[in-house]
Amino acid sequence: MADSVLVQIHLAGSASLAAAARKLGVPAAKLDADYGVVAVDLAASLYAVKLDKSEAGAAEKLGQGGAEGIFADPKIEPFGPPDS
Amino acid sequence: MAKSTRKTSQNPPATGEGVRRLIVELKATPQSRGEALSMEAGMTDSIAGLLQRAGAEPVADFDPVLLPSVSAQDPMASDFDNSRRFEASFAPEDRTLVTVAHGDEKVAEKLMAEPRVVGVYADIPIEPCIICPGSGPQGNTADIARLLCTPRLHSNGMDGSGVLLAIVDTGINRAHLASRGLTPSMDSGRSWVPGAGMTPFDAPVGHGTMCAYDALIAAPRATLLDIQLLRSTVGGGFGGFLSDAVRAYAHLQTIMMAPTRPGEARSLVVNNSWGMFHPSWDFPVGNPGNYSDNPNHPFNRSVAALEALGADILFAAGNCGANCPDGRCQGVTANAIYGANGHSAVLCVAGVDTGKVRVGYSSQGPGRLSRNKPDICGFTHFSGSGVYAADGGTSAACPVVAGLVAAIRSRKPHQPGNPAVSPHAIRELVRSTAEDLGSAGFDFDHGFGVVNGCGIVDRVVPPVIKPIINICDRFPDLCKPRPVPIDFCRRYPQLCKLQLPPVPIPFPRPGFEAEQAAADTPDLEALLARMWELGYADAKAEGHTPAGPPAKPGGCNCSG
Repeated sequence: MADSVLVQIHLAGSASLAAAARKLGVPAAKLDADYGVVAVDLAASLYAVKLDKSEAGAAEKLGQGGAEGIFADPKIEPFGPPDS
Repeated sequence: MAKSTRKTSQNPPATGEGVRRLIVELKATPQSRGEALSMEAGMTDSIAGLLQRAGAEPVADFDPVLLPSVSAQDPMASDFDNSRRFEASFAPEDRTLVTVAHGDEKVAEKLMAEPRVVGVYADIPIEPCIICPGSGPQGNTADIARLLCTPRLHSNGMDGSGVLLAIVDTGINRAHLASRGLTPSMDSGRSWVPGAGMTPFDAPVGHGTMCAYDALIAAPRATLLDIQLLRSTVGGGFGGFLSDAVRAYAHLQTIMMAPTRPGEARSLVVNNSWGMFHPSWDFPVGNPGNYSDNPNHPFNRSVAALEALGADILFAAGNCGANCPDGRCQGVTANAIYGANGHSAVLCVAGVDTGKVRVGYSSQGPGRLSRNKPDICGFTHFSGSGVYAADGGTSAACPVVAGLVAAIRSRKPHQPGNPAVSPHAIRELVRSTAEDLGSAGFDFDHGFGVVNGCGIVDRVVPPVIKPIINICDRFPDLCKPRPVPIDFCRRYPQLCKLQLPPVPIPFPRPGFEAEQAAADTPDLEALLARMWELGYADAKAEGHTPAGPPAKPGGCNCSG
């Protein structure tokens, strides 16, 4: 899915795309099904989903600064033998 | 020669323009023997006066050094010896003295005009050669193994056996490891690939294979897990996105949460030689979605959760060191340990070469999530896996340390609920046994120092108690319960004819010291002398009034 954001949410009970979509108030089709619902911290019932950027506004109702919300998905690379 | 009482400044003259350190060479007059011999007294008057006349400021902490004269042989001479092209003369009249002073060009000219001055030279600063991108390898796998103390580790069962060692990277190539003589245990079932068409341990030869090789140096019997996180070809190279890392860590969490059989230990060491190179890859600091500085970010939460489950997690510090950073750092070298690489729940690994000198590209602290990072240094930039000319970057340093952690876990497996073997305890063990480098104690270049395999063995493996002789087997009569009415001389008449110290009263009871004495002194004469000492000490300790020590051994003071 192009142009997506990483969203972290608490999900009690079933950690499904449908449950995540209901929490965010978006159609399930807007969530990245290939990515799915990924456990971040099971003890805290925290999960991550990928959401189309155009729907990111839906995640704003999760509030800011806490565990829930939209987060960066930066690229990562091996440190490897360095290149000047 | 009178000693100088003039106080000399340790600072260069106030006129700083063009002032530099100068090496000044002077003729060593006959008096100079005395001058050189009184070096510990500091600058002598004659040399000090000469320097002062020229306007030079002596460097106070440099004691003048006597040098022999050196002359080159004449190659045309009939006795020319090619193996001895230079002749040195230590005759007093041939020697020179060198000292160091501050001065500019004019001072140098004045010094040269002094009849006693032979030469004035620049005192050039020198620095160790720091390894930078493009430097050739220094040392090889055998050197790393020696530096890690692997013979002692392995002989004490600290070889990674029973430990899962996850290489979170571009993927491992089994065939390449085999070509280097390595056939470690590999668990495909608990490995992870991000998409269809990828197979554990069948990845293209690359960075992940290097990391696996380097981890196996200390832990050749660990079971590898191939976590192929960095399999997307970002910008032509290998890479990925942090969201992939969240998935990979979710997989690792399931491994740690899977049921175990009673008594089964599950130790998991996770190597991560990757990260972000530049803040522009992230949301800005202060944005609630930022990664580098935000413990709430999903991946930082994932790391904390996995560590809480008992995994030992290591991250490379990064290659944005101030001396010679990787080009991808785009010149940003301050605060360059981003996000999980500097998490409090991980060991953050910087890089040193086999000379224990920090490599110039190794990222320096402080860390953004946890200030006191890096934690430790591992060895890097050596000829190893053959994947690259040098196994380099903090990428190689990290798995070198990960292997050492896996070796520790062979002896101290993780047990849930036991703080003595928690990931925190293992991090503390690695940090507290490190060989200190740089400034005393922790510093932002080296953390607590370079890993110390021998120190770890000394801490983890209890000392072997030397086998001792059971004195009761050897001397059954000595082991009778107290009081000990032994008529020593009747029992051992032959001994009483010898010049022996008196029998101690009370006779020492067998104990560790007695047994140790027996082990150390197999000959009976010496043993009895030692027993006397112990018995005397015991008696005093218990408030008895034993016979005083003999001035010299003599006769048997028998009772009964």
